[in-house]
Amino acid sequence: MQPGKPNVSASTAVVPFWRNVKIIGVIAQFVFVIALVAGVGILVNNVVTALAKANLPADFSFLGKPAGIPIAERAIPYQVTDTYARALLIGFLNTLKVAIVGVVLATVIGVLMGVMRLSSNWLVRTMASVYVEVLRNIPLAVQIVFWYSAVLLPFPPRISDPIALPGGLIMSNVGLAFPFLYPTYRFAVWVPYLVAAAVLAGVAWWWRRRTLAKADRVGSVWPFPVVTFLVVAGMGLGLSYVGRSVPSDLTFTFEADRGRGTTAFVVDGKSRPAAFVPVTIEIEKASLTVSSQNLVESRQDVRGSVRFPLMRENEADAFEFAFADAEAAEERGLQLSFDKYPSVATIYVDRNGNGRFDAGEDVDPATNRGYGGVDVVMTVTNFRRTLVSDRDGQVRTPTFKHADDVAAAAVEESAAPRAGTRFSAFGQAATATVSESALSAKTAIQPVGALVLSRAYVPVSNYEGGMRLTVNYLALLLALVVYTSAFIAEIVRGGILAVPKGQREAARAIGLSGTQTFSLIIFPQAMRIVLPPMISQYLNLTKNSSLASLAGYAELFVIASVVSNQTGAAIPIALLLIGSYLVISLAFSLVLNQVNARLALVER
Amino acid sequence: MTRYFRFLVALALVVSAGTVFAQGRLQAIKDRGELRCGVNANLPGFGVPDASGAYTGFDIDFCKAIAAAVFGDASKVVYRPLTAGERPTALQSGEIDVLIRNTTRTSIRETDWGANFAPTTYYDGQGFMVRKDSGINSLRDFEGRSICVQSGTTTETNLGTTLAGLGVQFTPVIFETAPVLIAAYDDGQCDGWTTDGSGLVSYQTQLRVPSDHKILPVIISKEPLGPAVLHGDDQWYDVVSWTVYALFDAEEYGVTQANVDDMLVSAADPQVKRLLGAPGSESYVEAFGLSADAFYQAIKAVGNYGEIFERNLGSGSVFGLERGINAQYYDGGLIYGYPFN
Repeated sequence: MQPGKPNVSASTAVVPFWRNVKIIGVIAQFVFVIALVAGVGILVNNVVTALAKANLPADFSFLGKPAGIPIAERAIPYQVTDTYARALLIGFLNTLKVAIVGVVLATVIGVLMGVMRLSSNWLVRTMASVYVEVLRNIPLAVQIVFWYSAVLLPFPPRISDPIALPGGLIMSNVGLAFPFLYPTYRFAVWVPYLVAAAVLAGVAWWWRRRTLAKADRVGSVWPFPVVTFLVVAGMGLGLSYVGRSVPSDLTFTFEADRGRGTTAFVVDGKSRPAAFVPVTIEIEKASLTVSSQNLVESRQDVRGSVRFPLMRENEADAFEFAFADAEAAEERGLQLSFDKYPSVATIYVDRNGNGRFDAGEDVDPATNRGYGGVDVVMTVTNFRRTLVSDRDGQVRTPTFKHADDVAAAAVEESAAPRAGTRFSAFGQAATATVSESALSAKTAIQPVGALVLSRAYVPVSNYEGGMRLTVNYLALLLALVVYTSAFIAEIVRGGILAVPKGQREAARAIGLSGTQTFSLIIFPQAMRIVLPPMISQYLNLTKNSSLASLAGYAELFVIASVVSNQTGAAIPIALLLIGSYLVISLAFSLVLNQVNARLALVER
Repeated sequence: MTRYFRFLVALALVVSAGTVFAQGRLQAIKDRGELRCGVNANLPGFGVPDASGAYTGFDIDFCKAIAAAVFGDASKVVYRPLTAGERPTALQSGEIDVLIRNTTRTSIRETDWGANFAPTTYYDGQGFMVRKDSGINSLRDFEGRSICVQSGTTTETNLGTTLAGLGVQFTPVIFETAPVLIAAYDDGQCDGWTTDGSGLVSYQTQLRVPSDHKILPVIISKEPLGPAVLHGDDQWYDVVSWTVYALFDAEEYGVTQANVDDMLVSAADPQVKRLLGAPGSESYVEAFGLSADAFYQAIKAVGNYGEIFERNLGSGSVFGLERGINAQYYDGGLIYGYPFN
């Protein structure tokens, strides 16, 4: 018996409305809506009242206030005086940076591991199994801390003694830096060519496809449009270098004493920093003083170590080294031994008199420590280096001083030792005497095309220029990629196994090789099965990036926590966070669902 | 049944609260026979249990001094280790009698917490630690270098705004927890790191070679730390405040843990006599509700302010801190004991 059909004999009997199922249904809907609205209303009211009572902000007005949060990793210009909104935007971009790169890498490694797990080679199969089983069973937080504290931080080369690899790659425990192409102020010249290239490539693609279809031939559509695009775009790029000159409104000032140069780009009376402008620095003769340090590196003692900023031998005609206090050094018998000319040396005393450094001679027997705190002066002749200004329109160089200035500063210091003079490089008192720097004389802005190759350097104790990946970013990325790839490997393996056995047998029967069977028959079919669960793994990776604070990476969640702490606007921040992650997740889903829809079997 | 139970509990609370108010916390403590002191259990130098489980540190000594003043026995203290977040609740609920847990005196804590702060015992501020041979001697030297900072406090804002004001460009690395930060600094990812001065001192001992590091003589924020009691009991507030002043005064008058017994009988200075409650002198101490020799007992138990400082943080400790602004006013510091008159 259905409840809607009362079992009454008289069909004409009037059913009272409380027993009429239609009316009951409508009433139930109304009651539900009212209950829902009231429930939400009560919750919202509760939150708002409670926040007002606790004197906490419940609106988004805090977003416009200056943040004061220092953030190092940023894709767009930022200063501590910028707003909370901008700080959060930088966090959002940083989340995207780790999520997108992570998704690509995790897919590549995951697919590889998944395929390896099905290999007929015992060693390959076992290795992949161990990889998957170990990594997916260790909590992600543990892996992040492991990669950061146990692997990357103790990684041997320190920032004070980085490894400079061929191709301009620099490696140290602070992270990785490599040369990178950036668009310059002349990029606009190239844009029409890029547009034209894209249009022509589209036309070529359409024409090629039509020709193939007409001739009823099998062939790739792609070579023609790709070549067209590259030729036209390349031509445009080449033309952007023709007739280049330095615009007269591009000015350059150098605060050499602060180890920093500043370029200023003046347009329409508005003073804006000029990003990605190459500046060539030339120095006839200047010097640089550093103190030797006793360091603990990679959990090992490095004694009496002298570290000059990373320089290459071909950057100057000559490097000369001397102890700042030559008499005292001679008295103590101190000598220099270069581990890496001209940047890294050890101070030692040649106790066995063989004229070279032997193990143990870097230890002072009196203190059992190295010879720390000894000033060494490097003098360079005809130093030349081209730097590209960063997003804030600045370049940073080693803190060279003109030979005359050093002498003048020394005289000043000995004559009138007063507060501030001790820090002559940075203190205000002494800057007047050393402001006439060797750097300002021959520095010049270089003309540039649409793109500029920015190389990475280590002017003080951090990378400048190029593309920089901090150790914090790398640790988070590694952990996310490795962890997620273990799950992706299992999905891929499952997908491949789910392709019916008959497909493989049929492929073999028509004479396809093992590789062909896999790449043409099995893998494409596996992709269909694999894609939907992969999407959730991508979303997982994105959301898991919120564990970044364990590795000190400033992504959205880290910055939101700081903002929440400072403003007390916990609820608005939580809403912003939810919204941001929702946007990222939905964007991922949208793109991948499109791909999925195209890949899916069309059943008729 | 439940309703009656609740009512009974409420009634009991009201009655007991009434009793505390009626007789005052000082009397309640005396009746109880022990002082309940809210402390930090993780900050070497200020409050940390030693190998035998006994609490030691700068803040702990003030707990002992108050207990000695009240009972004549410094051991009659129950220490309640508190986290930063537990502090206000423990104080408001009356669970502790006095909070001495490196707590900064701020307007919000006086109003929202309902805390009354006794005189500041340690003038702290956000500072910086660097390697001794790094060549960094002032904030300007951080130009182009990196600084590790812990998130969750005002530390990173202080850092950002101060250095931006100086025009110094540096690389900040933000961490959530102190241990990871310390490891990153020790491994050389940062040229320096920043937190409150007391935290710097405390964590310096946990570095691989503590003597390779130094704290810059720069402070970029005000963090006056002192004991706090709950609003609404003036007598108890006076006892805590004047115990602190007594220790300040003792240093000024040259009364130490070693000579306090001699001073009690032989001191000629009427100020000292009043402070110690020397026999035959007019007592100003009994008016607090304490025995006449209360502050004699406090000094006997932990020594004067200078001795407490040197023993826990200064030359007598592994930290070797300078007195700095925590010196007596006549030495250019901010420590100023009020007169017993």
